[in-house]
Amino acid sequence: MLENLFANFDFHPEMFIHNLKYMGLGMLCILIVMMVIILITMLLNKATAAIAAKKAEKDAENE
Amino acid sequence: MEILYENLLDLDIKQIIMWIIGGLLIYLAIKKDMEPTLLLPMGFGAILVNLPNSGAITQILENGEEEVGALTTLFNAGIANELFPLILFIGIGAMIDFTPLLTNPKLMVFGAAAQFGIFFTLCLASIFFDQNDAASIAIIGAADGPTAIVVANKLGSKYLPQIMVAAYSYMALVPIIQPPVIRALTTKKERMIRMEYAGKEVSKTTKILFPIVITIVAGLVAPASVALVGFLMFGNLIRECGVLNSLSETAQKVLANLITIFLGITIASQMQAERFLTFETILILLLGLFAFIFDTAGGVVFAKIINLFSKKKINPMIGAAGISAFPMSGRIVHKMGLKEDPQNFLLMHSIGVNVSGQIASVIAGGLILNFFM
Repeated sequence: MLENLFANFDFHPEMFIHNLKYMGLGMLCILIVMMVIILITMLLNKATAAIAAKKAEKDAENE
Repeated sequence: MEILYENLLDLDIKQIIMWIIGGLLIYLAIKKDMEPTLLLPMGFGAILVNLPNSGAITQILENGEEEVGALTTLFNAGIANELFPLILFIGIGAMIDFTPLLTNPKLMVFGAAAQFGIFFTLCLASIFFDQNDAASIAIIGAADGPTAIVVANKLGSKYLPQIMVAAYSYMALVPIIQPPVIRALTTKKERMIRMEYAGKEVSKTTKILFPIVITIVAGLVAPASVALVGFLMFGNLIRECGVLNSLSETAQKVLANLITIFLGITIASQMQAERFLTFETILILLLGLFAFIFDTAGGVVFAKIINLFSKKKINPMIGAAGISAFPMSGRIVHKMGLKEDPQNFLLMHSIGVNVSGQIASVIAGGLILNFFM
């Protein structure tokens, strides 16, 4: 019965090792992409905060 | 009189088993409130397509002619070309508030770390399945239905219904799957680490530019993910722009609900007994569970590694919130934090990480497509 269960399977344990490179590459790529997004977001936050501060200064001067 | 029972004679025991499975999904949806928006239509659809000579799906008649069924038509119209999950992503994007993430963008690394389960499951699944099927099974770990459908469809996986059932069932089981894994990997002292939340204001400009920037960055790295990321971020842009409130509301409610109705019942059109009741289904469900477990472990362990080098300690539980099961995973981590220390409010951190997981899972899906398409 067990033979019938596994009849449709080909076991390829070597594929685990073969796919480790995709695991390494995939995790590295995601980390790099997220780091880039973090950097851009931090820059965006700084830039918009600076613009908002300048605008607040101008509004205060005008008053 | 024969006409009353001749169809009954075509009934198979496997079809009856599928009725029971359909009934179980309906029970879980109603009684246990487990992802009812998907599990109920899927459960009912499983019953519909497992009636002998069901008119709901395309049948080949005795004279060789094809009688096209409604569910097959819907499948070809919206699943085979990935249209339904992509449109659903517009609604999901419109529902997401990125503010907790934008106040502390560094949390995004945990969203990345929590995709570990996808790639580890790829290695495991490839022992038993061919490469494309293994990659499609691995994407269950994205904990995101539309991503799972799009990736599995594009890779031509023959296990789409099993992958869908696994993805949505495990998303609903996150409150049961995650806590034991988190407790096993952390000490009580670590779970009690407090994290202060400095509620910085995020400008409207940042909230508008963020979805555009994400789309460009993700699209340049993984072009196969442009549709996924793009539709998600388009939905978010509709929400944040401030001039399309009616469209945003429509996307969040009417559009999302409409597509969800079609999605669940259409996916079920593939849950025919002879395709679903196989040993491969059990193996896929098991591998899907591994994917969720290793996602959780990946996020938690990454946080612990960061703590080795960081003066300001992070509660490692928030790493577990990096899976895309939004907002459930974030709330679970917050609850676990409160259980250890009633004064420890991790919600804003865990929700921020949870939201980043949504982005990371879509990027992971795009990378998987890049590798194997």
